[in-house]
Amino acid sequence: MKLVMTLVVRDEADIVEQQLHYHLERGVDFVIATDHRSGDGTTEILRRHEREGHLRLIRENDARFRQSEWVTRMARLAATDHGADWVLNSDADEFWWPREGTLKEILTVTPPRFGVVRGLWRNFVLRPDDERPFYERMTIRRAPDVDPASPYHAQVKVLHRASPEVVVPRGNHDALGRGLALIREWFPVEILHFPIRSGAQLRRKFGAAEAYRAGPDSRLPRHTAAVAARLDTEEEDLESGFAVDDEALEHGLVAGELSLDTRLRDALQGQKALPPALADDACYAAEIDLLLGTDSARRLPGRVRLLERRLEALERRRRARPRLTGS
Amino acid sequence: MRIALRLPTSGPDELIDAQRRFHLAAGADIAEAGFDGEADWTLEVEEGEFLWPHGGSLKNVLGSIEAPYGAVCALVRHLVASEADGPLVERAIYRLAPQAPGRGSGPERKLLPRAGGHGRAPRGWYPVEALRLATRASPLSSGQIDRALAEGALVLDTRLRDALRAAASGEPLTFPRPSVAEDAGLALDVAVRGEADVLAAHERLDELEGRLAMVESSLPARLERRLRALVHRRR
Repeated sequence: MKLVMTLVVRDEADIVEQQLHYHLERGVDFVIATDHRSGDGTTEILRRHEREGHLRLIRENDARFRQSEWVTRMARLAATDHGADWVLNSDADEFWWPREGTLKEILTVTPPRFGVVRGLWRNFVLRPDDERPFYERMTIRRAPDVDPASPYHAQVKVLHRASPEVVVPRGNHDALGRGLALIREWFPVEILHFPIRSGAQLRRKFGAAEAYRAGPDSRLPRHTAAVAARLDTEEEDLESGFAVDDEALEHGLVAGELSLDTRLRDALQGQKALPPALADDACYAAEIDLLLGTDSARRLPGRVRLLERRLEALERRRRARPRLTGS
Repeated sequence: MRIALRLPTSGPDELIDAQRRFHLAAGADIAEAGFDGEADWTLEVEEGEFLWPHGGSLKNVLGSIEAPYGAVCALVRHLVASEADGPLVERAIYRLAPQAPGRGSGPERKLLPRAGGHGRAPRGWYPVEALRLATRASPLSSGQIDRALAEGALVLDTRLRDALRAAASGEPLTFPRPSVAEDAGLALDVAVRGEADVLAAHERLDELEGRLAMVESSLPARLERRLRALVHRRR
């Protein structure tokens, strides 16, 4: 089996090396990366991996952030040019962690009638910045938010069977196409997610959010829009608003809102992971429950709206038909 | 923590006895027909049903359920017996695959509630299997079994038989976490037979989207688009 990871990056030099190293060590055979106007050393890191032969680099200098178009192109290239069996569409701040076995073991046993497997975000919070890399500082996980405007909201990403016709909608939360049926209630992969890692990275990431507005879908994702708006009004205080200091940590641990999770740190330091305990399973189940709840609240109405639009288009064509036959 | 167990009032004595022995060994405290008001969880098992926890005893698993939830879902899986000689629990070592012919539609989950508790179970989590022996169905011949195994309609599953043998010889029962492959099998059962509410709505939407895509790509629709383009060019 060949597993290809796609990656869209922009100024992710603080994390992209660890992200590539982690996944290449854990079953990803090849990476296709789209570098969108990076200027912080990210491009050089990607070029080095390209020279080493396990990454194909695509540079995009368009001011617009055309995420769906770029990820779809990479996912199709994975099928047509790189012989992929499965494709994992990731962001640089995501580390795909199989709960049991390896990524490839999970994909091997995925029932053939299904083509899309979900991973669930597990969000890690910003700790006060010091000189240590993010994975040594950020060992505190928080419960997901229901509010989609939070950068820590409950969310999924998907792995999918390789297909030359796949369409990956914005956000990489789905993969659409023939043979890509979603297995809805199985979440065998956790995605350890580090969206806010330092004040500088926070300002850089959300300061570039305008690139979404110029893109083909001009709406900003809600969580991006919410943080970008705060950036305008409370730039100086924004970092401290996200950082969890020692006092907040103590309170959060007691309240059960925060938990110590050193898995990525330990893995990057070469330590072997232990299987999850029953308490971890129950905690994970609660987060899946929240996701499935919001999934229904948000995704079902969205799908219904899309169906309505397609029906309306058909109905318009039907109404127009007499004019065609009469001409 | 105490788990009260209500055993069925009907069925062969040897089967009820096997259920009692199994559930006591699996972590239930009480195996009485009456309700125990002191219990944290009250489990009611049907004729031929065995609650199989994942990753620990029933006490471990139910003890891990977070406080806001008032129940947990067990995924029902059916065991069928061969017509060989011997007690039913020794012969019932074949599990019906979710797509096996003859299985009806409808939810295949069993709600295990906290005693006197209110509140729902977490969606999408099945830390317990309810293994149900087909007590009233005719046993299968070896030819039928071979055919069904080859077609994928049956899967060999000796867990219950092995556990009952272990319990009979006084060995402690162990309930390991499902392997990746077993986990995928459970996911398939859930996907094919699982939750009736939200999942069914999603699946109806899947079907509607598929039907709509067929209409959109149908021959008359494509012909109409081509004709329209032709008329437009001639104008």
